[in-house]
Order: sequence, then structure tokens, then C-alpha cells
Amino acid sequence: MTTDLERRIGEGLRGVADGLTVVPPTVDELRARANRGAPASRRLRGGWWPGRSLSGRWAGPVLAALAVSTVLGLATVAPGTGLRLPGPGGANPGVATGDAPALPSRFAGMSLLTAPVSTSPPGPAVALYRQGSLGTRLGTSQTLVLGVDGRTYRRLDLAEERGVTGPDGEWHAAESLLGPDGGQVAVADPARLTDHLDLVDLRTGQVREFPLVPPAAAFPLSWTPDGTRLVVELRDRPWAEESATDGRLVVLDVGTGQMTPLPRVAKADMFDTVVVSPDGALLAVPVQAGRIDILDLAGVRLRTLTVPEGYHLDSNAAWSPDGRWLMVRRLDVAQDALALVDATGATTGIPVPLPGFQTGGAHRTTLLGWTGPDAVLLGVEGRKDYEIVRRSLDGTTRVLSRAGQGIGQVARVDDLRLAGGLVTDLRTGDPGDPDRGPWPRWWRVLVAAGAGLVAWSLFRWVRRRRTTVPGTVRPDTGG
Amino acid sequence: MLVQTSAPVEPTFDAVYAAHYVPLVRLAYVTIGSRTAAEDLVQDVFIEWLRRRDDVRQPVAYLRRAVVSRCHSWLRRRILERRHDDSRRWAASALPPPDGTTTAVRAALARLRPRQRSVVFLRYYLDLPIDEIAAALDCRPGTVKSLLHRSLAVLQEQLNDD
Repeated sequence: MTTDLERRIGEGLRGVADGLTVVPPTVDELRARANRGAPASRRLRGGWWPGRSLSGRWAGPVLAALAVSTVLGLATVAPGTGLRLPGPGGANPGVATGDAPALPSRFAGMSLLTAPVSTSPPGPAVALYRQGSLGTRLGTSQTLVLGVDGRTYRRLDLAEERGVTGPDGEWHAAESLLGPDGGQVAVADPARLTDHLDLVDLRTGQVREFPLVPPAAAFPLSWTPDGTRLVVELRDRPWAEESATDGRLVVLDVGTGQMTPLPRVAKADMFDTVVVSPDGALLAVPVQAGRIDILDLAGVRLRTLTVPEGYHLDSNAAWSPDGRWLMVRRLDVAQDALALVDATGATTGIPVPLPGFQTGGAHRTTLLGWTGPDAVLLGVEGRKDYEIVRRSLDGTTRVLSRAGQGIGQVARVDDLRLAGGLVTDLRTGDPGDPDRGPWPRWWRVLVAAGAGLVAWSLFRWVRRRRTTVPGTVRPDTGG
Repeated sequence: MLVQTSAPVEPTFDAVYAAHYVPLVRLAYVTIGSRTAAEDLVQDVFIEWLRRRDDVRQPVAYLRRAVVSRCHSWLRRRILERRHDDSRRWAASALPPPDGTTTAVRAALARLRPRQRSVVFLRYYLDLPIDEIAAALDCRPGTVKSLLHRSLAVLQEQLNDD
């Protein structure tokens, strides 16, 4: 059935595409070019861009530099953009949150001067997320961790450095997965073959490497609740976005480094994930559309669950803390919705979708965790702010935290995940000024150079005045 | 001899070329935003098909897949230009003055990733079913649905603003 939205999209597309006057070359001309064996496209070989000179090839980098400079300038002068350039550390600790992990009622604005984990480890983190736009290297995109105090922000520089240019031409950080206690992050490259998977200790900044033999494209999927094992999907060829190749699942013991393959088990779809049960003994693996297998950690299938049509297991926080439910999400064309599947396989006839859990197409929803057996935390990508929402299974909703995304979503929040073991104890409030760690070296060099330039200019100006003022003979203006 | 071997293929090529050249140029244009490059890419694909026509059993599916693939290769090579010129290229196109819906869709397209633009065009301009779109993009139907879902969110937002 065609909706009004789809009808309007069709109309708009015809307006965009049909206005293009296309004059096909003759078939004979194409055949002649094919038979010549010459490069198929003539205009693509240099100077094809309309009105573009040779020097124009510098336009891209120059524009990129200008864009970054503009963002820096905006960040300095316009706090409303959502970007901030703060001092080296937060001075106001704000409301004490005790030992409980804290979420700020409002995330600090994105900063280009946040220190990296490698040089300034933040300690255990409550959240891991991406923020920014235009990719990592030339744009503002960052991978960030937020400390359990709710005010310490650091860039996960290893994930940013291990990124890759994606099929859409943009730089994508490597995949990262925060451990359940927030103390470690797994970083892996699904987009290229590598010979190791990394584990970053957020307390020390140190990195442990786990060899992949043979090299593989790796995607960290889910931690066991005790943080001792990690379920990873491995592929034999780079996992380009939307690739249709199948992967294989392994369980990595991060204590011993041993990898145990799950025999003959593969995920059905790239947007599905594998979920570990709250007791760490079982895995839920979507093996085909509408079917989830419940396995033990050796890969032995214990039972099979039926998933409502169109729904996917796409959050590694999907298993309820009492072990009974798996929350699945509909990835439909125009609307999100959430539903429950009885993980024990005993119950059928659960209402689909859950009442009060439908969201409009413009507001994508991600399950972040369960705060108890009857309430979940959802990440809602709103138009203005990103919101972390607590929602009871009866549909009651409360916004716990917001993150501004800046003008034009220049600081867009994406892929936010919470430390699974900290969700039930989370408190929210105002944790005080953000602590972003020491300024990065490039900024210190820039500031020092700027200060030096100002000092040198001042020195020359003062010296000029001293040498000219006492003996100045002004030109006679007559009179 | 050459005439004999190529004769059975010629009508097929002519018919497919006549029927699909223009829609494929429009697919490439919507995906990459450059008319000149779109025409070049599609001509490349047809020439490639001429050279490999004995290997191609489903020419339309092959052509769509090849166009989408080349669009993305082209975009990778022109990453900097694309980052800074996308919206302006669409805005500066010498096209008739658009209506409100066209303007909104054009603005939404500028916010989408190239692969999402391809999917939207294949679905809502060519009215292709999910399976054929998946074949064109070399991905699974579930992936197409997800791409459409995300694209529609942006389109809906833009059209609601209109």
C-alpha cells in the first residue's frame, strides 16, 4: 500500500530526476568506443568536472581546512552550536553523585579539545558513543567515552585511528564495545582484515592485543555479564557495509586469549546481533528471518524462538535481567516498534508491538538496557536532542538525559551504548563542569605559537615606539 | 563470422539501451549529484556490457548493479569534492524551478548517504521490489529495508518541514 509520504517522495524524485534532460549517444557510437578498447569514459580522464581547472584539485583540501577552521571558530565564539572549547579540566565538580554511576541530565557539548584515552585514561565509563559529522579525519566525528562520574569525557583515539573509509566515502571509526563494568572497551575492524583485536583498559589506557589467526574482519557483538568473555563475529573478507557475506561466531576469553568457535552458527543479517543471557550461560543468535536460536556457549542449540515478522534482535542489551524476555525491534520502512519475545519459549500471544513503544520514522530508537524486569532505557534520536528515556513496559515514559546535537546536527549523537552492568544503578543529575582532560598537543602547540606571535608583535611595536618617540621629528605641516 | 556471433545479441542490446539508459543516468545522478559524471558512468557501464555481453545473463540487473557500484567508486575517489559540493551541485543544477515537494526531496537527498539515495531512487522512482533492489546493491533484503527506513526518516522530516 502506498502511503501519502511515499507518494510525495515519488513525486519529489520525479521532480528531481525528470527535470534532467538526457540525450543518449547513439548505439553506434558506444559500439565504436567499445571496439576501440579505449578508456570507456573520455570526460572522466581529467578536466571532466565542468569549469574545473587543474588548480581546482586543491579546492577540496582547502575547503576542508576552511571548514575545520570555521568549526573551530564557531566552537570558540558560539556555544549555541553545541561545540565547546573548554579549559583543560572541569573546575566545578557540581552535585556529588557518590559511588553510583551517573548520567548527566544533559551531556556536555562536543569539544574538539577532548583528551584521548591513550594519554589521559578516564577510568571506568558509563557510556560509549559517537558524536559529530563528516567523518573522523576531516570532519568533527569522534568516538567518546563518558566516565562513571558523569562528567569525564575522553576520545577513544584507538577506535578513531583504526577506522576506515566506508562505502559511502566517509571515514568511519572502528567498531567498539564497552564492557559491562565500563572498565574496558573492545575495538575491532569489521571493514578490513586485521591480525588482531584490541582491548583498551580505560583505567590505564593500555591496550591488549588478541591475535586473529588467520587475519579476519572482526565485529565485537556482545560481552558476557561478568566481562570475561566476548562474542565476536569474524569474516574472511572485509565487511563492507551492507555486505552479504556470512560470518562465523567465536567466543573470546579475555583472560586467557583463547577463542572458541561456535560450530555451524552464523548470524542471519548484519543488523542483527548476538545477546548473552543475564547469567552468562546462554546466547540468543538470530539465525534466519523470524527465528532466534538459544544456544549454550559451546554452540549447542537448546531451543528455537519465533520472532514476529519484520522484527530484529539488534541490541546486545535485549535480554531482560530476569532472563525471561528478549526485546526485538522492527526495522520497518517507516516506523520503529518494539516487541517482546519470551526467551524461555513458554509464552505466546504477546502483544505486538508493545503498547506505547511505537516511534515515528524520524525518531529512531535503540534499546540501551533494562533498569529492572519491567522498564528499559531507550536511546531516541530526536530531531533536536538525543534523549535517553526510561520507559516502563506499560508505556510510562521519563526523559533521563539529553545530548544536544548542535545546529544542523553538527554534533549528532550516534551509536550510544551504556555499560550493561551499570544500568540498574544509574543515577541522573548535574555532575558539574565537564572534565575533558589536558588539552591535546596540537592545540597546545597552536596556542603557544599564537601566544609567541602576539608577544613578538608586541615586542616589535614597543621597540619601535621607544626608538622613534623621543626623537621624532614630525613633518612640518605648515601654519 | 563477427556478424553471425553478435547478431542475436544486437537487438537485445538496442532494446535494453533504449529502455534503460535514461533511467540509469537518473539513478546515477540522484546517487552522486553530478549530471556529467552520471552520463559518463552509465556510458561506461553499457560499454563494459558490450565487451562482456557473453558473460551477462541478466543485463538489466547487471547494469543496475554496475551503475550503483561505479557510483560508489566514483564517490570514493572524489571524497573531498563530494563532502563540500553535494548540496551545491544539486542546488546549482540548471533545472526547471522546482515545486515544494521537489525542493524538499532534493534537500533530503543531500542529507542522505549515496547508498541510501540509490535505494530511495530504485524504490520510489523505479518502483522496484525489495528483492530487486537488494540484487542491485548486492545486499540482503533486510539491509534494503533498513536503508529505506533510515532514509525515510530523513525524507519525512524534510517533507514535514515543507
